[in-house]
Amino acid sequence: MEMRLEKSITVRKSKLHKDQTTIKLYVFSALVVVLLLIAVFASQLVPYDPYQQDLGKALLAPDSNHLLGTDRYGRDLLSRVIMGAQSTIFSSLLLVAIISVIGTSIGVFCGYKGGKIDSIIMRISDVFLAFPGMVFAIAVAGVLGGGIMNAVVALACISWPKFARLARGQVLSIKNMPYISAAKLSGSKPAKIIFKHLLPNMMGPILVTATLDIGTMMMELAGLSFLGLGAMPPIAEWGSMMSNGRSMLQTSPWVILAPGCAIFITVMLFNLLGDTVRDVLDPQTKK
Amino acid sequence: MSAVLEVRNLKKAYQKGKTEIVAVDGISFEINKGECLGLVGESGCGKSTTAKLITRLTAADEGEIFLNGKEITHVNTKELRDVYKDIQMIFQMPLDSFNPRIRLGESVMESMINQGMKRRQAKARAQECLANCGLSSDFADRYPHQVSGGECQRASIARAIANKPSLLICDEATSALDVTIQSQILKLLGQFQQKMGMSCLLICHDLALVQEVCDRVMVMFNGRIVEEGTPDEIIMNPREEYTKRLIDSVL
Ligand SMILES: Nc1ncnc2c1ncn2[C@@H]1O[C@H](COP(=O)(O)OP(=O)(O)OP(=O)(O)O)[C@@H](O)[C@H]1O
Ligand SMILES: [Mg+2]
Repeated sequence: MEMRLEKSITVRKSKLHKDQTTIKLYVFSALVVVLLLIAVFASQLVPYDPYQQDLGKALLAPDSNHLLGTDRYGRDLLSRVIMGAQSTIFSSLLLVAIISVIGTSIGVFCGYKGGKIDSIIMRISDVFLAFPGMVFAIAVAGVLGGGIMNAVVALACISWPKFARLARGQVLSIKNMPYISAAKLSGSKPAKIIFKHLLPNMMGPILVTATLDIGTMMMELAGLSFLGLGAMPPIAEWGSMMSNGRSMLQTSPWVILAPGCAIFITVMLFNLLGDTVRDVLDPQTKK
Repeated sequence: MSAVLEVRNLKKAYQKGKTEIVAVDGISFEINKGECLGLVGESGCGKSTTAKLITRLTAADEGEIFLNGKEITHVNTKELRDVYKDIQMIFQMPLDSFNPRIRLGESVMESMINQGMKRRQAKARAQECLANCGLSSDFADRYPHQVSGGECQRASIARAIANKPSLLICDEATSALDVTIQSQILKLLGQFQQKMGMSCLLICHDLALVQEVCDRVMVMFNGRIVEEGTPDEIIMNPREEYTKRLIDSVL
């Protein structure tokens, strides 16, 4: 009897907890959707042309005309931050999509196939993981030259092993489950086993990592742009905008603060979403 | 009598670091049509490995397996799918033997769809199989975690018999269930065995259950078959020292 009582109490607790996380999930997803909408409709939303230079209005402090002030070429910073949302957010989403798809495919292939190919590819990914990522990315971006797509490629080159490792581990733990054997006994082909039985049961952790990685990748892309290896001027991109403003931090701090805050808010939002996705998915993956 | 399954000198060793574990050490036996053969032995003696070797879920190191007179030890993956029409397996953990994200009915249908049956037909057949196993049709729409262990094991029997195999391997199919359900499941298996003339390899460590349903029993020890005979023979007057110990420990 006493055991029962305790059980019912714990069940209740976990239910309350779950309700909260679903609310959080909705709130953060809604905020991220708003952010994405801003990025999609950036060119309609901007109050001024983000590329229109007017040296007469250079470095104006924020006021009612220019809510975030202007930069040293007289371009409206609010417009540039909104426009920058497009390139920054979409390049990080693209990057995460690339590394999660490629990494997962490689990991699933290695885990399912096993044998020599598996150990060779995994040694290669070890090399990537052992190398300081940013240094490698800078080298690759340096070789490829500037441009936001090249920065994406450079970061994709060094970031896929994380997903490959994760996916491989998942495959190895699921591969020997009886339901995979049962699927083989049902006469399913390897492709069907992978897409119907393996992938759906291992997507949870991969999805969580991917969501959490959006923020990280955004920071790294901005970092490359800051170093002049990502987006090229005059393209509005938060990292390069910060880089342009860094010499004026003392005289006109708004030039660097505007894109800085934009990165901060966006990265935090994606990280919060990632954490919430993990909270929602984890109890199920544990089960 | 014709043998449904014939196993000759089957061998399998696992590499564990530098040491080699010989899980199955040159066993030979056969199962006749309609016969229920029991395989008993302590934990780790190689029973599950034998089952996996026969179903080709793991590759054998040595030896040959004949199913209905046809060699299946070296057939390629494509021919193997045909072999699986005739040979099916039920696993120890009912819950783990179903994909948690797929409804039970869908899992039961899978083998029929793989053989080119239309979805609607397969669905009807799956519900028929579930009904034969004592599960009403609404179980087809449930997920594995929404049913009890016994119900899940019934569903897995439904899945195994959907294609009317000639050999069914039950790897401790009742060990995870409580005693009352155990006998229900065994009865169900016995019914199908008689109705369909199916042969059965019943892997088990409960000698009492074996005595109830098996025509013949093999005792396995350290990867070898040490004794073979009818259940009564073996339980009443075991020849091997190990069998005596096994019987003492169970009864
Ligand atoms: N994949 C594997 N890799 C390495 N060793 C294995 C593997 N599978 C089984 N073994 C070893 O082979 C031996 C036989 O295992 P098996 O699973 O066949 O035993 P079992 O008779 O089914 O035992 P139980 O009654 O506990 O199910 C054990 O010593 C086990 O450690
Ligand atoms: Mg076993």
